[in-house]
Amino acid sequence: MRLAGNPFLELHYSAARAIAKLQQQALQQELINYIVHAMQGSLVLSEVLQNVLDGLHIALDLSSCMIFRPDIAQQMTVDYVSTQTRNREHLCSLYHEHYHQQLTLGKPVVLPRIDHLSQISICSLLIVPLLYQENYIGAIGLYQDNERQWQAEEIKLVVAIASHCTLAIVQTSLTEQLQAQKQTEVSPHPVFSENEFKFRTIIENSIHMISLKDLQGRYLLINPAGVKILGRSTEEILGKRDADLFSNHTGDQIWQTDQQVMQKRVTRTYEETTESAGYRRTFQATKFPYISSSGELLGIMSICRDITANKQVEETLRMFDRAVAASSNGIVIVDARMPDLPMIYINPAFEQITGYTRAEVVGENCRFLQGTDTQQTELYKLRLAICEQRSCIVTLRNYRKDGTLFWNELSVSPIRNSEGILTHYVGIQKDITSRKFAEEELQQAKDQLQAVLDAVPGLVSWINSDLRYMGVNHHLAAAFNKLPEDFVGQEINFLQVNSRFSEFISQFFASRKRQSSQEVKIDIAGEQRSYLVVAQKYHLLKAAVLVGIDITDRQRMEEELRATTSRLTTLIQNLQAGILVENEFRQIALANQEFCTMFQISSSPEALIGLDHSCSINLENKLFLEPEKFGKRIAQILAEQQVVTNEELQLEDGRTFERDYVPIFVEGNYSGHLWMYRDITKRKGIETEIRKALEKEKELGELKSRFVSMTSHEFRTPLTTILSSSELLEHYRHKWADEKQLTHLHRIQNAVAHMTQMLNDVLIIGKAEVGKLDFDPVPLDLTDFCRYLLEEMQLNAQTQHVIDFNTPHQSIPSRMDEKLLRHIFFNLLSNAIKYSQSSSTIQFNLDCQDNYAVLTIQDQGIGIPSADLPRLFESFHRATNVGNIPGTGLGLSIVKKCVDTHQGEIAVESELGVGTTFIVKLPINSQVRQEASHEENFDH
Amino acid sequence: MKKILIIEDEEFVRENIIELLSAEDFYAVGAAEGKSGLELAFLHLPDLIICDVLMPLIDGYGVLKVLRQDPLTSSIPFVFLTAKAAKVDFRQGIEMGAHEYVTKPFTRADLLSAIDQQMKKSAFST
Repeated sequence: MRLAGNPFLELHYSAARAIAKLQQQALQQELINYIVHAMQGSLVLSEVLQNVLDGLHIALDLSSCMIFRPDIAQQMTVDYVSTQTRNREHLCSLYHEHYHQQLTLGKPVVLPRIDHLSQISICSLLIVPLLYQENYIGAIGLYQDNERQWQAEEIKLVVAIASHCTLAIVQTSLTEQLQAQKQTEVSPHPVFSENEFKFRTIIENSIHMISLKDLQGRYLLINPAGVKILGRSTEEILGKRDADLFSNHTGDQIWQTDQQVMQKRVTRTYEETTESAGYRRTFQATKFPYISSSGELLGIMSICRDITANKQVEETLRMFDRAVAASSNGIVIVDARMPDLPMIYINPAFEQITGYTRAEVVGENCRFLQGTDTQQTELYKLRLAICEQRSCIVTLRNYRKDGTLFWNELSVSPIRNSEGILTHYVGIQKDITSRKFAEEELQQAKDQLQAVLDAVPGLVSWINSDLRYMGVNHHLAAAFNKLPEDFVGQEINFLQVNSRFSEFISQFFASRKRQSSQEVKIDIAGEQRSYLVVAQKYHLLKAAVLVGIDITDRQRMEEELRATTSRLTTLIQNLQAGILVENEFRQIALANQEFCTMFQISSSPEALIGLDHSCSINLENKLFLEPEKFGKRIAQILAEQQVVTNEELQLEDGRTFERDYVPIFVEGNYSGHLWMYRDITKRKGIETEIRKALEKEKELGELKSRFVSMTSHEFRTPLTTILSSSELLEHYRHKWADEKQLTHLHRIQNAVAHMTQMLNDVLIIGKAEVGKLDFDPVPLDLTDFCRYLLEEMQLNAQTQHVIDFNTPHQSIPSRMDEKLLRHIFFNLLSNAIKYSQSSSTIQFNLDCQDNYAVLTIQDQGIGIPSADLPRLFESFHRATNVGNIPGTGLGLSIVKKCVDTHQGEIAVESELGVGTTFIVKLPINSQVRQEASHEENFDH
Repeated sequence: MKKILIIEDEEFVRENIIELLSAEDFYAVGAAEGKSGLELAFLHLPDLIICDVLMPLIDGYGVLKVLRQDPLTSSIPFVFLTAKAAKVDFRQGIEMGAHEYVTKPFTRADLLSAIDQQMKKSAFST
């Protein structure tokens, strides 16, 4: 569990941060207001500085705080120290000297950790210089006797205070200077007398520079004050022009005004600025022409008053005026000597805040800002302060010109004149509406936070670093039959529930960790329950919030789940099927050993977990017979998310897998799926064998039925002949001549012979079908054999066919089975005779090729339809065009079996109505073959 | 003299039936296949037709069908000769209007009694 995700805690922190920021803002404002008052002269500077230091000390929780100022010897010494400072003998000043260079450049010294001080183990410093017009006039030093990271906000605050202090100090010193000067300065009205001596005395003693220059601007006379101001000896000055004494630019300017005065013969007063030896001085020069009693212009006289210091003071005052005018705070000055305290000055910020223009409000009492809302408690505070002529800060509900409300934080200070009589009040108003709103929001946030904390089903508490409760939520209090208030301020183990809990908290505070968590068992209402306690520090690590979540049920469930999972895992691992479970992103969640074995994956099933399915694509491509089809099917299954069972897959290596797919839904949401693969290669093999056997059985059945239908037709016909002929003989022979009787007897014999032949054929094919055809090759001359056979046939069959036997070989000594050879020749030749016109020619050729005898029997008969060719050698199959030509459909089947037994070949070429050619190739020297190969040959 | 047409593709069987019927004082005519058999049937309008079922080109059923379509020949008693012995074949023949079935091999008595019966039936009906 992580705290970062806890909304109520975040709320709490943001609230805490907001408070801190607001507090800091308020404090800063307070301190700055204080200083501004000092600048208005209503407060004594030393008091202000002291209070500022004290304020800073508290605000930033310092060990010490001080202001350095130069002493008479221009050495920086500690001038003010915060009153709370315990140890005044610290080393701040040491560091101050050390960083003198940096401070004169205006850069603050920020030392979060100083280790090498022998007396104190660790301390930290922050020194901010007081700088006026690039002059280093002092510094504010902050000291902390432990390590401290000075925050940017803190540094900013001190810098702001420093700049205000600077202004206050400078202003005060200037005001003092001005007053001192006023006292010393006696406005000299030169009184002219006839007596030159008197004049000379006046001139000699005048603090102003008095000079006389001739028509060319050369000095003829200069008094001692002038000599001192110009910084040269009288000899160096007399006879020189201003251009020689000052820079060209200054000299020219003086000469120009001199000329004007001389030309116009008038007295004029100028403000002149001179620059000499790096000093810039401003003089008020009164010039008048020096005219003789005869009216002749002799030169020019000038009296120059050094007003450099006045200028500076004026400049500074103007700056303050501007500052007041530019201030974002509304500033009001009220005349306390007039009845009903009318406003005599408001700055632009006041206009901006209130919406009233200066013309509208000057001369009025500022109470109109309250509108009708005059019963505010803060108003009484203000009135009291005004009665008592003291300063105060109040927060008022004021109304703008357009009637809208704004919260005005008004700080009022009395201003007294040098006699200590109240003359004015200065009011500084600040629109704190947004702050007020922020405060309201903060309160809301606090309420909200409390509501959230109470709503949290866990136990929530706040504990500070001295291990006492600062607060708990209702849930926690209720768990111990108490109220939340009962906990505040109590030590954490006051309930003595669990010492382990207090131990954890104290360890947590002792550690540097910001957050920590621990499982703790707590007895609540007589039942021991497990809590996961999560602690998080806040408030500069001085407090912590703790959240306890009841995990008793979860632990129990986890245990049950673990047990179930372990049982399932064992089951899956031992299943005789490859299991692969993928999550909804098709990452492997589970696989078993059988899966790895089946898919030839060398790594362990555990190593697959988390892998993406894409890594298995190579595997698929390698393993499956049709990887593309496989991939497509997978995509289809995944898209449908329907259970799929017993899908067969062919593998490249000949194995067959059966696949099941089961989508997994957790609370109705698809969250993955399970693949189950079974190797069914063996089963498929057995199935194939069974199917083959069945086919064989079926073939035999068909053979049998074909045999039955053949016999019913082919046997009944000769039997009919036999029966009818014999009955004719029986009933009518006495009427017949011997010859006719003989005809019927021959018919009977022929029919019997035909039937015998058919039976023989059936027997042979029966033997051949079961592979029991005798094979007994004997040496024989094939040419002789053929001739002999032909003779025999021509004798037996009363036919008009011409059988044209041709062979280039007189003799072909060979080794063949006579019986089988006879079957081959007899059947082929008798077919040629049977299916061709009588008197047509049959070509019978015998040749030898590479130890093979090649027999060609070519007729000019009806031919064989191409549709019948594939089944030509099947038993009982007869071509569709045989008509009523008798036949059993066994002859060619026997031929084929006999050729096969000889390991020969037979080919047929035929064209309907043109003729048929059979070509038989037989090895000349056949050997008795092994029983095995013999078996094999007939094994189908 | 009653006229009987024999349509039978097996030469010896046909010859033997003609000989038998001639000996029994019938006028027997033979045809070796269905087409010539039909020609003879229309030419002679025999009193009875004996016909083999299994023949090339036009088989026994074909012959019967043609004969039954013509009023001249439709009522001629028709006896099937068949090498098949299954009951299905009988039913098919009877449904088509065959009057009698004689299964090969048949005895002289079988054939003659079948002819005799059909002749009587025919005489009665006319």
